[in-house]
Amino acid sequence: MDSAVLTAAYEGFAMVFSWPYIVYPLAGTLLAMIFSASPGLNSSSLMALAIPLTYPWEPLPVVLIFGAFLGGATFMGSITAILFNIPGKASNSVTLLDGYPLTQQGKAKTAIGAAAAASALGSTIGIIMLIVLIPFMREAAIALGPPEYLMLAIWGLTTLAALCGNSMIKGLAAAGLGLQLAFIGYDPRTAEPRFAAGIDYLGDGLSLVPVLLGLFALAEVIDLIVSKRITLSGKRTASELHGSVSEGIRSVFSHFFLFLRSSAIGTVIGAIPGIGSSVAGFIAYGHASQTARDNANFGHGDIRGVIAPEAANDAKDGGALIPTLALGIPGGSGTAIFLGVMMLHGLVPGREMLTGNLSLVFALLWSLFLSNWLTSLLGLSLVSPMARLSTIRTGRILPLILVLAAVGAIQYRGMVADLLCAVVFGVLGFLMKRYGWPRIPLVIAFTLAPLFEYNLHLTLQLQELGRIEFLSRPVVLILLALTGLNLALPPFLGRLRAIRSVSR
Amino acid sequence: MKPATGVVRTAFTLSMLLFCAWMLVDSFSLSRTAALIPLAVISGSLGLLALQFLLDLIASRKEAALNGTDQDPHDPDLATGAQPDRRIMFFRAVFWVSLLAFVVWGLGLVAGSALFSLAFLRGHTRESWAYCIVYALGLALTLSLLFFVLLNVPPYAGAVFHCQ
Repeated sequence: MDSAVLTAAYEGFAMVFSWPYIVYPLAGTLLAMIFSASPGLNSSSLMALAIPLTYPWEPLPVVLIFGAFLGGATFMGSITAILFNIPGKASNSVTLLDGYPLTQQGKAKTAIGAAAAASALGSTIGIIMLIVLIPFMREAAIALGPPEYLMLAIWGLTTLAALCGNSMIKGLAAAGLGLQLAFIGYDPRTAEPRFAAGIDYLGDGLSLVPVLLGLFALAEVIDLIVSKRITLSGKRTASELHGSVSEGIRSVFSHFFLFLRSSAIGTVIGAIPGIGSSVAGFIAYGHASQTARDNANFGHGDIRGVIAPEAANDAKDGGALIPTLALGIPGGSGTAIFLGVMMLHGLVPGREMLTGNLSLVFALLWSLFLSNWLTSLLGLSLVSPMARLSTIRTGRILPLILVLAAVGAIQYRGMVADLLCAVVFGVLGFLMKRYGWPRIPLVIAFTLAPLFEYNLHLTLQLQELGRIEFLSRPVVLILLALTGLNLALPPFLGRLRAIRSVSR
Repeated sequence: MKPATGVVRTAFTLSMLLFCAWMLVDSFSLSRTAALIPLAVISGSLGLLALQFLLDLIASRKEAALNGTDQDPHDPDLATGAQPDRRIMFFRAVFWVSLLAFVVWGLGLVAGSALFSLAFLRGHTRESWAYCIVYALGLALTLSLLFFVLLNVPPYAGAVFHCQ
């Protein structure tokens, strides 16, 4: 590695861990933790609120506190996802798929422990990859266009096959329904309103957060009332809870290769601008399920279903900084606000940022690193009191869950209609659960649909105009091979297992 | 007479099939460009749902023939005889969730949440009045502190207060 990079890394480290600058990442992390633990509020709202306060500041404290805002927000939302089936923000929504069933089995501590370890280590991998990729950032970011985005969406959709559970027809139909629900709203190319049935609210399309809150949190509330379950975990006292934090942390190391792959997926997807924060987690989850030898337990409390999305979610933060710093293209809403703040303080992204201000870039990375670890460590200290919540009588905790879901649904876009939307999806989610329809393919398809549709249109247009040659692009070919592998691997492995069991 | 589980399961699939069919019909009113991808996806979904509907129908008929009833033999409620109770509980659960949406829409996040928790704890969980009031006040106070003091973000105020 270039000695200039190493020097800048050291300088950045010295900047962060010196007095009084260390206060900024610490304060930023605490604020981000509070914001991200409140459903519907996220680091983007915090960053937007903090902008006016930082006007008179020097660039270094600004970079440090915003780095902490970016890093500190990811993990805390997973705790509410695991305990109550309510994601703190959209990117935490994948964690609840297996995190909440683990809580129902009395293993909330294990799930939170695994999430914390995967989160902290995943962010570290993301930052390491970012440091390694700094010299190649510009070329790499420019190499991606609509065909690559389209292939990425198709690759993500092919992971659905493994998540269909017992009924492939129901799984695929649920995925189709997810795509259809995402079509509601304006057409991305012609701006025609589609499937809105004359309802103004549907004109802008359905938002992911109320859909998720309905399908999972409210559906679970309905199920808890119907089944008359005594407590969330089925246990009456904390001493009856199984699992421990250390068991969760150990599980990350026992699935270390999966963790590494998920972190890599998170970094790569984070580096692609405009994809959306939840896509990384869903693709990592799909990949984990696709490549697992025994994936029957996914969606029913498999610890790998917590590790993969958590690692990807936190690794994504490092990846999202690649296009932001190299090209001035934000990877998501958080980095978009961060970009604006940098420019307000005279820091222009691009070559100058990666040469003249490299030590400041590293100060940002160290701040991100520190906040990710701090969030996980503080989160772990809260595990025991929070896990006790799963032993409180459901009748007493349900109003709190319902209110948290209402806050999450309304505050996300400031629209009360989102709460009504969540209620409709709550009933749908309950009926789907009751009659054996898998909800995960619906959610993954819904998340990937805009990426798929928009880039399919663009790719077709570019191909018609002769501006691109779809099959001559190396990234497209790599993703095509991965897609083929996704489709071919499960039947191949199934056949192999059948042959092995026969030979035994 | 209450509908049996097999019938409800089939009806649920049918309702999804009808939703899909409506989307298919609606997509014909779109321009060729806007309808291209939805048409392809909806056609596929419609086929799959039709197939699932047929499978559900056959399963219901088989179950009815075997048991002399339309009930699903795999239904966990059958073993406990809890099925009618479950249906009542389902409508009760939907009522509570809808009530939350209605109260929050009318009175806003803070007042609506407090009033809802009071009603839920008293009406559903049958807690004592003292417990319900303390819980509701605590919730209102926590939400007020969170939004007004800590975050300085005004929460949704409610249609009633907006009109004034």
